[in-house]
Amino acid sequence: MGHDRSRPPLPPMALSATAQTGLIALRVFLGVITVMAIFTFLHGLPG
Amino acid sequence: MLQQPIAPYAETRISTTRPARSGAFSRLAAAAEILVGPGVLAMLGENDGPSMLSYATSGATYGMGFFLPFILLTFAAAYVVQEMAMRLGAVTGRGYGELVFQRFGKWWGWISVGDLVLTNLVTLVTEVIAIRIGMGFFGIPAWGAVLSAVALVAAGSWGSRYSRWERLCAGLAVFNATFIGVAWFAHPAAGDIAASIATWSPLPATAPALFLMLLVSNIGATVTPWMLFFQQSASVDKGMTPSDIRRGRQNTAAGAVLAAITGCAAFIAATPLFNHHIDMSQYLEGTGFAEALQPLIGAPGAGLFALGLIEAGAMAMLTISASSAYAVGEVVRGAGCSFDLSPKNAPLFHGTNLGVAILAGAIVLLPGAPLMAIALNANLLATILMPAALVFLLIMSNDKLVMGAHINGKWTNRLGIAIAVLVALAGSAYAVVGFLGAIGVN
Repeated sequence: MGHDRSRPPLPPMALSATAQTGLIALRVFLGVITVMAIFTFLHGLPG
Repeated sequence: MLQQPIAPYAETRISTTRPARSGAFSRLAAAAEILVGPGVLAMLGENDGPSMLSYATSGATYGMGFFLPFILLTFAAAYVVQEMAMRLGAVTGRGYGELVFQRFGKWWGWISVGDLVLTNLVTLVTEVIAIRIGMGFFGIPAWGAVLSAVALVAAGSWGSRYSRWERLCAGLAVFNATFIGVAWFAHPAAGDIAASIATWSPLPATAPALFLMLLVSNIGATVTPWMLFFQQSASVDKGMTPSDIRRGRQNTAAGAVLAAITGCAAFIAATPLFNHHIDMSQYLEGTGFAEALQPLIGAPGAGLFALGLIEAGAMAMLTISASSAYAVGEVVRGAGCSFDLSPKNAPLFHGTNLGVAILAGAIVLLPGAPLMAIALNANLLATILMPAALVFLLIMSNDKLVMGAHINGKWTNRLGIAIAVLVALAGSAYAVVGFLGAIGVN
């Protein structure tokens, strides 16, 4: 039962160039706002 | 390039787990089984230490009003998201991390797992903090709380049975209901509860930064990356197949309802602090809400709140450690990845499960660590990183190659996209407003 790791992996999904670009743009955007949130967190620490 | 129209993987998985049931007793057992499963564990596991503190902070800051129906809305959103994760697991027999690795490649796979491990570690620290705060109310020292938390996760790995681990979680989850007891001691007016749910008012009238922080924190208290990884992987570990999807939906819905009730109870329990204009900042480094509530709702209610925090932290220690273990186990080729395997046969899985708990406990014991600041920000990080996980979830749930006839319906897609956009907007708004405030721009 459970995870059967002996199965062959599924084939990679064929993503269009637009979809790839969209995923990368989302990732960069989330990276920027994560850095902003971490800066705010560190800035708010006492001392 | 078009995918080859091969037979969907979904149709090749056949349930071997449950015989047909008949008779009243068997039907009762089947009904009880709906209450013990990955959906209930994910939802009640997410009613964790920082989530309950987030709901309570909202109640203490704003009183009855906007945030009560908002919390209910977030659980409805959680159902939509978790149902997709359950269905993916039941249909493909693969965990979230494994599927992202195989369908999107190593780069996206490692980024997804990296996001998860980071948010899980921060969240696990907050679970230990919650246990420490709760036990502190009863005079138990910090080292005792940390030791208890780590021992609990070790006990979960012992026995090498998924069903045993699941029962341990379910047994703990029952005590999430202690928050209902605390809310009862707070003596809320039924009319106020009904009015706030019906009208979503009064609206919070404070600085946008504080409102946004609590808004985002409440979203992160209900819709988070670890829940996706956990429910999909645990559904696989439980042996669910496409024929179990209906039962999985019932289990997920039951979890959402139960978790919404106890989450709202934590919110309502803290509203006397708002009604009596109590400044919570003086309690943040101590035993927190339980201590602050004691003069208002009495020692039994305060004690229940502390017990509830211990349970919330303990339950989440088990599920979030497991979520990290599933994710790491799934992406390392050849590694065993199941509670049904012994630590000897799945050393990476069980090592990760226990290792992240020990690391979180060690951080909490660091002298001078900003524990409450970490606790209040853990849900924010989860919200900010959630949209990426939701996008992959939506793409995979619409992947005909692996999902076959079980792909998302039109309304599931509409709701899923709306949730992803709203979570991204809320996280971005908080990050930008907070950042501008930090650099002195009003």
